[in-house]
Amino acid sequence: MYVGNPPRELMIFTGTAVFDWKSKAKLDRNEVVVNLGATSTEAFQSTSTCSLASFSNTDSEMIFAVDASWVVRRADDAGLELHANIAVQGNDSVLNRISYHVQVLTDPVIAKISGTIRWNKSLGDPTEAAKGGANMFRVAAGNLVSVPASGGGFGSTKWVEAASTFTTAAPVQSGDFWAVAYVLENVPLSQQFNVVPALLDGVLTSVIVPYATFMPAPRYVELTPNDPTATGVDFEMIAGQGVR
Amino acid sequence: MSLPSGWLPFTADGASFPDQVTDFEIVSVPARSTRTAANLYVQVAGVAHFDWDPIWDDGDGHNIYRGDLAVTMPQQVLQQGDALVEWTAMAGMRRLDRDEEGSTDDFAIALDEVSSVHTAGGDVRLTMKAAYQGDAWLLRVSFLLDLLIYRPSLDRVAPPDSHGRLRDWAEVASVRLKYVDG
Repeated sequence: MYVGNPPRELMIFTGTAVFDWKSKAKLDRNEVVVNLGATSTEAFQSTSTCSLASFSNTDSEMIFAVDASWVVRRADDAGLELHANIAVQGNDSVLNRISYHVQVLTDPVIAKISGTIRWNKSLGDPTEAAKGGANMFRVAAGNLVSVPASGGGFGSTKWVEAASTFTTAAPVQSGDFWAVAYVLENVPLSQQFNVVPALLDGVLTSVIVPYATFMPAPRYVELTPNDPTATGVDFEMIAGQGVR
Repeated sequence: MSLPSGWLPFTADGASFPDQVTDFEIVSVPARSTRTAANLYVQVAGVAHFDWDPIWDDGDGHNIYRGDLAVTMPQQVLQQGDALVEWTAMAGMRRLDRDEEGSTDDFAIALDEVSSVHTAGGDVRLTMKAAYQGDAWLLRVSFLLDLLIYRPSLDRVAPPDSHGRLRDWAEVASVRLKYVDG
C-alpha cells in the first residue's frame, strides 16, 4: 500500500516459518531465512518481530528462543529476506515454527523513460511558441494488441497505451539539428513497451512532406524493479517516404 | 486428535468479557492499496487470555490434540459500511504453562497458523489453529492484525454515472469491489 505524502510504499508480511531444529543437549543456535518474495529499492526502512509458534520437549530442561530478527535486501536481485536467530536446548527439544511480522517502508519506484528527439533543421524550425516550451511532441509507451475477430469478420490490432507525456522543454539547436527532451513517467514495470513519439500539429515553421516518422522504430523498453529507469532512449525525426 | 469437545470453543471473548483481551490498541491511517480499492489501513494489537485449566493430560500424554483458538475484539474496529478488503495477521506465544504431572512430562505446544479474520458489523474475530501434547497450555497469545479497509467516505470524489447522476457510495464501493474481485 502507499502511505504518506509524497507516497511511500508500505509492505507488510506475516506468516509462519516451518522448519525442524533439534537440540543435541547443548544450546544449539541457527539462523532462519524467509524469502519474503518482494523487492525494494536500496532506501528502505523495516521493522520485524518473531515469536515462538511450535515446539516440543521430552522431559528435560529446555530453552527455546528467537533471539533476534532483521530484514536484508539481497544485493543480486533486490529481494527482501527476513533473518531470525533461533536457539534450542533440551534432550531432546525441537523448534518447528516461528511466526513473523515484517513491515518494509520503501521509496516508490518512479519508473521513467527519458531521452531526446532530434531533427534536422531542414525539416523545419520550431515556432516561437515551441521555442518557449510549448508542447511539440507526444510520447507514449504501449503495445499493439490483437483484437480477435467477432461475428465472422477479420481480426485487427489496437494500440494500447500504458503511459504518455508531452515534451515541455524548450528545444535546443546544435549545428544542423534541433533537439528536445522528454520524460515518460509511471511506466509499468516488468512489461515490454514500444516507445512511440508523435509530432504535434503546427509546432514547426514548415510542414514535413509527406509525413514525419521516427527512427529507430520500433523502440522496445522494459523496466524492472532493479532497473526502473531507462535513459538515452533517443529518436530522430525524419521525413517518411511514400504514401502513408 | 481434536480437542475434547467439552472444552470447545476456546475463545478469548473480548467483545463479551473485555478482560479476556488486554493491551488492546488500534491505529488507523489513510492509505491506498497497491492492489485493491482499500483506502484505510488499520492495525490492531492485543493479548488474548485463555485462562482455563482443562484436563490436558487425558491419561496418556502422547496424543497431539488440535483445535481452534478464537479472539473477539473488545472494541469495534470497523465503522458501519466499511469493507474489509485485505488482511494479514500474526499470533505468537505470550505465556505458557506446563505442569509436571500426569503420566509423562513430554509436551508440545503449537500455534500452527492464523486461519481466518472475520468481520461482522464492526466486530472482528481472529481464529488460529493450535495444538498441544501433554500437560501444557497457552495462557496468553499476542496478536497483531493488519487490515486494509475500503471506507467510501474517504474517497475524494464520486464520479457521476453515464447519465450525469451522482451515485451513492455503496454503489461506488460495490463497483470497485467487483473490479477488485476481477
